[in-house]
Amino acid sequence: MIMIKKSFFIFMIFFIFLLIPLNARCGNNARAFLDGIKYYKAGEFQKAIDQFEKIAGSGVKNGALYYNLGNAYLKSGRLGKAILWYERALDLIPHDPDLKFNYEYALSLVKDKKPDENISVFSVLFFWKFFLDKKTIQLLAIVFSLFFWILIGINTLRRKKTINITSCMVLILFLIFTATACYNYYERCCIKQGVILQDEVKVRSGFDDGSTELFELHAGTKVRVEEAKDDFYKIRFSDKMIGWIKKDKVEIISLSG
Amino acid sequence: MKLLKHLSGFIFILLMFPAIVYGGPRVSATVDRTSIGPGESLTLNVTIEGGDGDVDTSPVRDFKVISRESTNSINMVNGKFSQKLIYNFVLIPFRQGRLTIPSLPVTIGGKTYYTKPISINVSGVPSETKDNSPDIFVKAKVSNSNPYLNQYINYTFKLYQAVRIANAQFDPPDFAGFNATELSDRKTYTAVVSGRRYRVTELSYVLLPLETGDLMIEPGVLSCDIVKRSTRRRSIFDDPFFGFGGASYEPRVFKTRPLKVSVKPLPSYKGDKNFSSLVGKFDIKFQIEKTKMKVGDSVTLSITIQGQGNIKDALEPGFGIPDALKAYKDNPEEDIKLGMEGYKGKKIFRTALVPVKSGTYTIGPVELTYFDVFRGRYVTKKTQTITLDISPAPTEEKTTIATPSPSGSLLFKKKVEFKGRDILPLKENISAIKNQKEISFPMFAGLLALPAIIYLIIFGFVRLTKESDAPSYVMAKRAKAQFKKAASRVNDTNAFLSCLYSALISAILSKAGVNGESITYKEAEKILAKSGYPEDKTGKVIKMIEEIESARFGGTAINKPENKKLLARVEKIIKELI
Repeated sequence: MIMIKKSFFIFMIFFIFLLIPLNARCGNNARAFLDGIKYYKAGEFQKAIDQFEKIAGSGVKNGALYYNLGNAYLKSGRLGKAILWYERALDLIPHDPDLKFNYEYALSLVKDKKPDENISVFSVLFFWKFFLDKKTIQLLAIVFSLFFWILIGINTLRRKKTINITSCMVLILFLIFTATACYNYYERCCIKQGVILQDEVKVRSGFDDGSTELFELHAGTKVRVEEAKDDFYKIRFSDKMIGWIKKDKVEIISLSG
Repeated sequence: MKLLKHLSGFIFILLMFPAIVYGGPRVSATVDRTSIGPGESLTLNVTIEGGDGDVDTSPVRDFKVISRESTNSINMVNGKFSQKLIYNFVLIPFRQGRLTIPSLPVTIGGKTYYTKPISINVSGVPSETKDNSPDIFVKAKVSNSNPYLNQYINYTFKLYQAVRIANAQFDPPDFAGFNATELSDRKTYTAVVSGRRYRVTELSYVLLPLETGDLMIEPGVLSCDIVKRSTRRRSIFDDPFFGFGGASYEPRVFKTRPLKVSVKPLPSYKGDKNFSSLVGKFDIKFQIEKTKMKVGDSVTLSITIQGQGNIKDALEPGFGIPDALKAYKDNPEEDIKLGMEGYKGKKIFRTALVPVKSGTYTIGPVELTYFDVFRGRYVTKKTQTITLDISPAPTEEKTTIATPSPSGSLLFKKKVEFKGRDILPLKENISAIKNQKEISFPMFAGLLALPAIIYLIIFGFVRLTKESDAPSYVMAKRAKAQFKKAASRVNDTNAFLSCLYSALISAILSKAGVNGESITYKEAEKILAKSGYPEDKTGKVIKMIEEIESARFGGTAINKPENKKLLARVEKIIKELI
């Protein structure tokens, strides 16, 4: 009995020591967050950015924090970075009205006109992918999975060896949303999007500064990053506009990448 | 028509070829008279004998050529056939004097033949003067031979006829230098000229001079056939039923004298008002529905320009609107008709006014400056001014936008627009420093698979625990075991049959879900029927039980191969039952 008590005491002490750095980090982030807000309100946007970046750098993934960073960058006149952080926030809080409003405003300041996107067969056939956000699709897939197996369980209890139309429909929906969610995971890890950071960036035909200048892009323009080589990224602005750009002039949106 | 004629000629020639004596084609030209007056016409016949060809009239320079008709005839003289094709033309001289119809080329079967030239004397004395009361004559006149530029005038063509005519065709002048529009309604009436009654047909055109100076309107040409009663004895074929009617036709062409129109330019405008570019005679009205109203009410202001001339070109005259009134212009309304003297009617310009501020305001006057063709000078017409008395709105004195009223006044909604642009503020909730949970792919896959796993665990466990005690499960298991035992004792007939019987009975009892060792045939039938086993197969099962029992208890000798066959049949039944 005494042995058990001793062991429990040692475990508790060990657990408390483990929690100390975590709490300390939380405290630092809270202070930085409050400071960031204070600086922002005082019009010291760079200082606010530093504070918010510090929190994001500690590994915090939060839509509201990213939104604040977008605001601070926009106020400091760095449109590229603002769009970048708004894009990251959209991944986490896609339905936030404030974010949508500010993002639209920031987009209106972007100089490059969005390439004309033809309505592809893909976007027509898989329209729900573009209507619903990633989290909703994941939840729908899980819900339909649960619903399907409940129906199968009921069928088994009724000793029915065939599945009815309802079960079939639920199965189809389950498969559709599961496939879409899987594609979204693939897109997140394998298809990289980036945002142009500098006011004016020259896109070249090759990955050195002497290559032919193909076209120019401006801060805030979203591009698809297809390949990396040395200090360059191969980017695609539209189907017909592809070129190489220096890595420090574009930043990939996905933080996991 | 020409094609049909050629085709019929060709067929005829083809049929009659052996009889036609071909003596080479001959061409000739003849006229009905060699001396004519100005404005008169003559008839030219080109005859082709012994062939089929085309006549080219392009060398004729001194006459206007109107192609009329052609006739094709086959004659038999002294037993010999000959073909004759006659082309008929009407020629109208362009000038007086001795004119010549030159040699006309006629192409027959790729070869060209020529007619002989014919000399025609066109005298300066018109035939109208020869006869004070001709049967038919034409006249043309313009309503004003000295109009202003952009002043509409009227061109009238009149056909006087005292005899019957047929196939009348009017060829109007080109009206070069004018914009011509034919009036759709043609007038027909009777008139007495020089004591003779004529039927008069009148065609009218409205002309708008497009350029200044002397403009010539060429003669209008009317071609027709004068119907003449035949002088020969009437026969049965003269009946109109047969289409001949006993009348003959004399083709004639009549033309009017050319007309000269001297178009005057508009005098230079020296006034201080804006010239509206209207030419004619016009009037202007300036009206408003009511002069007393409240802020937010709607009232219609209308400017009407009425008159004759180029009214279609009328634009809304300008007039000042005070800032206290919002104006909404409507599309102009037109009520304009084309008449003998050009366009006539009115054009109404309406504007909806909505007062936004109370007070007394004056609108107008509206002025219209046009060129009066009757007076030959520029005229400015001025309307009266309109004074509006605007009282404040009853509920809200500082109304800026019209509000709906019970009387149904217009509601003018205003689009809400950004006055300035900025972003929305920061999110200050401290929860912003917490990590937002995301569903990782392994977690997602796990959550998807979880219901399936739960299902498999629950139903697998239930099946294992529940079914092991159930009689149907026990009996089915026993049937399998007994069948297996029988299969191992094929050589020992008694033991083999006993096990086989037990297996079969156990399989049937498993369908009923009861334990037991033996059953009667009727019981077996009842169980199988209740479980929905097919009726024809039930009979086979019963027969099988009988067969095994009779072998088992009747001492029927069965050898090893027969045992194996029986085993196979029972196996099939047991598989179906369990």
